[in-house]
Parts: sequence; C-alpha cells; structure tokens
Amino acid sequence: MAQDDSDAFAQMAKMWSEGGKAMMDAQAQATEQFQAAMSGAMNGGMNPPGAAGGDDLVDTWRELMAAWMPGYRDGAPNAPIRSDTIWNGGGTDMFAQMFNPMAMTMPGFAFGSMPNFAEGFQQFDASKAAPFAMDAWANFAPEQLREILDSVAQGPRFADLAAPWMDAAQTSREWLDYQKAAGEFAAVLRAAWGRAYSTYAQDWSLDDLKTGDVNAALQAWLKIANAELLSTQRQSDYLDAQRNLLRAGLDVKARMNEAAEQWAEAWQMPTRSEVDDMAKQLHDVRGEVRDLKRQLKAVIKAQGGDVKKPTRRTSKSARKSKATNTAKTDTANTDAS
Amino acid sequence: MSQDGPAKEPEADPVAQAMQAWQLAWSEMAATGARALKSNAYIAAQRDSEVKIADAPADTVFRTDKVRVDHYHPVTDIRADIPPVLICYGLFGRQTMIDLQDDRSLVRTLLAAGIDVYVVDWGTPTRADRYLTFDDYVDRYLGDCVEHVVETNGGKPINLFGICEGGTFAVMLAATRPELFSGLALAITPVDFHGRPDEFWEGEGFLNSWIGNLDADDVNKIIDTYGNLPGAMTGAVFSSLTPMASMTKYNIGLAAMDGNPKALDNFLRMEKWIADRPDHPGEAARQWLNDLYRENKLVEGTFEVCGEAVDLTKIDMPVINIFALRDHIIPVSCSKALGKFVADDLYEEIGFPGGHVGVFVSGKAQGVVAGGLVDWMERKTKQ
Repeated sequence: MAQDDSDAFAQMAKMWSEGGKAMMDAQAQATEQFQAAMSGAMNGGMNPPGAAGGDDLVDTWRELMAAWMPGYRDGAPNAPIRSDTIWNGGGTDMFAQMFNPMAMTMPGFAFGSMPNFAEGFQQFDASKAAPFAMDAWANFAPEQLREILDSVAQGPRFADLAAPWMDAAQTSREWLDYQKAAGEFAAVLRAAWGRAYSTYAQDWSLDDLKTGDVNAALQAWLKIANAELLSTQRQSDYLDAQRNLLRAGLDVKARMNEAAEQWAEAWQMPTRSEVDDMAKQLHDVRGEVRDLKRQLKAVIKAQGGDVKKPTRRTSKSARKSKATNTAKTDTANTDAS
Repeated sequence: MSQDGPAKEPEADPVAQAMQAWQLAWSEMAATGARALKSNAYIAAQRDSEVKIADAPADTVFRTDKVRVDHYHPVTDIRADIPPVLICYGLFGRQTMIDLQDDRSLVRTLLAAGIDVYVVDWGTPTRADRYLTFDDYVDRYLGDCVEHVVETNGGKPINLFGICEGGTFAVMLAATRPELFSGLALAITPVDFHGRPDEFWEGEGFLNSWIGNLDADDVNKIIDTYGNLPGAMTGAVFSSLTPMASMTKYNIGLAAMDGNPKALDNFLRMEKWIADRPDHPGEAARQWLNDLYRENKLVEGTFEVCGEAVDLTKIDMPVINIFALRDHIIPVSCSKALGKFVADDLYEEIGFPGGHVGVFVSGKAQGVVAGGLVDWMERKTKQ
C-alpha cells in the first residue's frame, strides 16, 4: 500500500503545504499584474516584467514584501524561497515529520514511531515561524518598524499643532508589543505541550497502546500533561512571559480607555475619569459622615444618653397608604445616612 | 513437564491480539460517547431558574450601603447555648457557596445544631465602589455588621466565622476590636501571604508565585486601568491554577458523570456559583495584592486599618483555624501561620483532606468541617 494514499496525516500535511504554495503563487501573480498595470500607465502601454521602465514599481513592491516577510525572495513566481519556511516544501517536510510517525521507520500509524512524532512536534516552534501563528507575524515585522513608531511617538509636541499621528504611532507600537508578548507566551506553552508529549511518548509504550485500553491511555495523558503544565507555570520563562503579556495587555487597554475618554470629551459626555472623581468624593464624604456618627454616638453614651435607632422617614403618600394597608413592616434597621 | 524442561507457551497470534485491542478500544470509545450523550441530554433538559443555590430562608436585618446582614430562619426548636455566629465571606466570590444545596450546606448544619446564624452579603461592587479600602470593609462595614448582631444579642459578644479573604477581614477586626467576639473561626484564610514555598506541593502556591513576580507598579496599573479587579480576570486566574481540570470539565468531566442526575445537579450548582464572580473594589484589591500578597504586611505587623496597625497578638479569644490540605489557592502554611500569634490554649486547627472549595461543598466536609466547627463552638464559646 503506497504511504501517501493511505496515510491521512501525510495527506493533510500535503494539503496544507499546497495551500500555502497556492497563496504565494497568487500573491506573485498579483505582483505581476500590478507591475504590468503600472508599467502600462507610465509608458502608455503594457510593459511585461523586465521591460524598460516596467520594474521600478515591482522592485518597490518586492522591497516592501521583503521588509514584511523576511523569507520572501523576489524573482519568478515559482522561485524557491527560504528552505526552512512552510512556503516551499520545507514546511511539508516538517509537517510530514510531525504528523507521519512513519516518516523514518515502520509502516502503519497506530504502532508507529512515537519519538519521531514528539521530535517533530518540538521542532514546530516559534523559531521556525509558522506563518499563521501570532508570534510568527511579530517575527516577520522588522525591528525597524518599532524604531520608526517609537521615534514618531516620542517626538516633541507643539502647543498649537495637533499631532494625531503620534498617538497612532504609540498605539501601533503598543499593539505590536502585545502581539510579541502574546507570541512569546504562546511559545512557552507550546514548548510545555511538546515536553508533555515527549514524556507521554516515552512513558506510554507501544505495548501499552497495543492493549487498546484507550481510557487508560487518556488518563495517563491527562496526568502527564497536568504535571508538565504545573511544572511550567513555576518556571522563570513562564513567569517572565506572563508578566510581559500582562504589561503589554494593560498598555493596550489603557490606550483604549484614553480613546474612549477623548471620544466622550468630544461629544460632551461625562468621561470615566469624571465619574470616578465623583465616586472618590462621595466615598470620602461617606467616610467623614460615618466617623462623625461614631463620634456622636460615643459622646452621647459618655453623657449617659441612649443612642436611638434611626427611624426611616416615609413620604406623604407612603404614610397615607400605610394607614389603610395591613402590609408587614420591614424589620431592617436601615442606616439613615 | 517434559524431560527437556517446561513446555513453551504457544506464541500469541498478533492478528488476534490486534483485533482484540481494536475491539476494546472501540467499545471504550462507544461507552464514553454514550455516557457523554446521557449527560448532555440531562443538561439540555435543565433550566437555569431550576438550578437553585443558597435558598435557606433568611431575612435581611441590617443594611449599610450595598452591604447587608441576613439572618437565617431557625430550623429547630433547640437553642444551643452558643453565641450567634456571623459568617463573613470574601470579595472574590459569593457567600452562596456555604449553602450550595440541602445536603452540602454549612449553614444548614449550624442551624440544625440550634445555632443562630447570620451572614454578611457584600452586594455587587461596581465602578462606583472602586475607592473602597480595607478601612471600609473591616472597620466600617464588618464592624457595623458585627455591632448590629452584638446589639441583637443583648450586647454580648458573638462568634465570627471568616472564610478566605473574609477570614482575613475577620482576623483584622478581631485583632483591633477583640471585645466584640466570644470566638473566632476561620476557614481557608491567608494570614502569612508568603508561606513556606519549600513546603508547597506541586499544585500549591501559584498565586503567591505569580503575584510575587509582579512589581507594585504592575498591580497599580491593573487597578488604574480597570478601576476594580475584574471578576472575569480573577476567574480566569483561578481556572489556570488547575489547567487540565479546567480544560476537561466540560467534556471528559461531564461524560464521567454518565447522566447521573445527582452528580449533574451538583455540578450545575457549582457552575452557577463559580459564574457569579463579582468585581473586587479597586483600592481594596490594591492593598490585597501589594500590601498583603507582595509585602506580607499583616504578619509583619505593619498593615493598618483606620490608621491603627493590626497586631495579631491582640487576638485573645478562642480561635479555630480550618484549612484544606490540598488547597491550590491558599497554601496550608499561609493559613497555619496564625498559630504563631494566638496563645496555645486558645488555638485549635482542623486540616481537611480536600481542596479550597471542597472544605464546604464536599459531602465529607459536612461532618469533618461543619461538625468540627459546631463541636468547637460548644466547647469553647458560651453565651
């Protein structure tokens, strides 16, 4: 039996890699069309790629692509790209290794080579940059972009000149940082899952699997995964990633708060800070009233007086209805303040 | 046995073995699927309004701001010669957990023993409550609630039972106003917020570690950004303390219940309680995280309530300290630390072999914890 025909995971890996390649082909075609269109516009006709005056905009486009996707190489649509990315089949190899435990040894999935599966999974980490992972995008975004955003955001402010682009740059920078922090946190957890799988692959032997006792296999997996996650949650790389993610997330949230404040201010609506201000004043006044009441109680008691329970004042309409109703009175001793 | 030695066992037929294994695997998977379907069918037939928790009848007898004191109706004509007990929960969840259902209710156990039971309900804090501090919760709110019950008790001291953060409030009030109390009961209460990390078991002490990993500015930023400490955030943190349990409770966990109505009802009630997680007022949360968790001011003697340092050695009434030996939220050493501050003849402990919430909601806890509490009150606290 041919491996590719029967092995579902190899088929799936093939589908993913072909899909990625198809996307890159489409992008390259779009690039060509863009180039053709712009060349035609500049020269009064359609100039194919390579023709005089036709490549300037294409080059600009490719430079932009290279800045955003370091693995991208200019050239013909089907030119091979960086060998260790998913785009050219290096990813196919990686996925094959990951999902096809038979990549190196014996036929048949169920009793295949578990260590290879675990190794393949562990190789699938941030440094290999799976493009659909959040951390991969942040790795693609060049450090120059952060520097540009920083320099814009931290520039001098002028008294009579608004500079909304500075706030926008700061917001973008914070968003980039959050994505980076989220990616790093995800990477730590991915490594933990990889270790859990390695341990499982070593502890749960092929003979154990051969019994068909899936419940026992599942319980073993849950126990091993739990132990690994608990262990990871104490380690310094987890703590660092967690703290950085919290900080980055709070920066983004604070920026959202600021935007909401500015919007409310613009529309003459009460802002959150104003309402908080009022709450603070009310809290302080309440505290003073309580302190005064206690002092008064103490003075009255010291003078031998009786501190009466406050009675609740009722409105005129309530007093009227009370006279005609036989409703049960509330036994609550309400604080009259 | 032949002269050549023991007879060799016939070699197992690998095909037959493989077929047996497949058969076992498929039957186990089918059985699990069937169990899951039964549980799903039962849950699909339930209505949220039918999932009832904390429905022991009570009257509201005192209010201040959003805080109220509820007085439970007696369930027996027996009146124990024990002072009334005021139960004080914390702000990270609802006090409804102490009366989860008929047969798992600390409240009903106390009532059945003829004890007069009150409970503090902190209400639902909103953004308007962000400036409430420990001064408010310990001295003003809890102090006023206790004074009301003392007054109702003819001016005689009462028993205060604090749970988790409510226990920390209780400890502070007992230390600053000991004259109000005939006894102090605590459950799963942190006193020493650093504890003994070298004694932590594998699932213990994460909160201590994670919060200790933050700077004061990180905590300040959380509070300044959100106003309060969001209930959703604390809920997510608590879930991550037991990662696999949290990931599997709605799939493997439900399947394991096999459609059992009792087990599923218990589950739904717990879920209802867990989902009801109010926000924690911001300034009090700032103190909780910075002053207590990070700087451990309570055991250092530098934590202040209304300008007065809380001196735990001033606790001069009988104390019972209940903690859970497999508590993943409050390490045992964080609770047991109170024993250093209270005189030996006044201090008792109960270590329950369960988890943080199991101390109240497990079937076993009704005898060990609730029963132990009643026994202690009968022995140590008299009207």
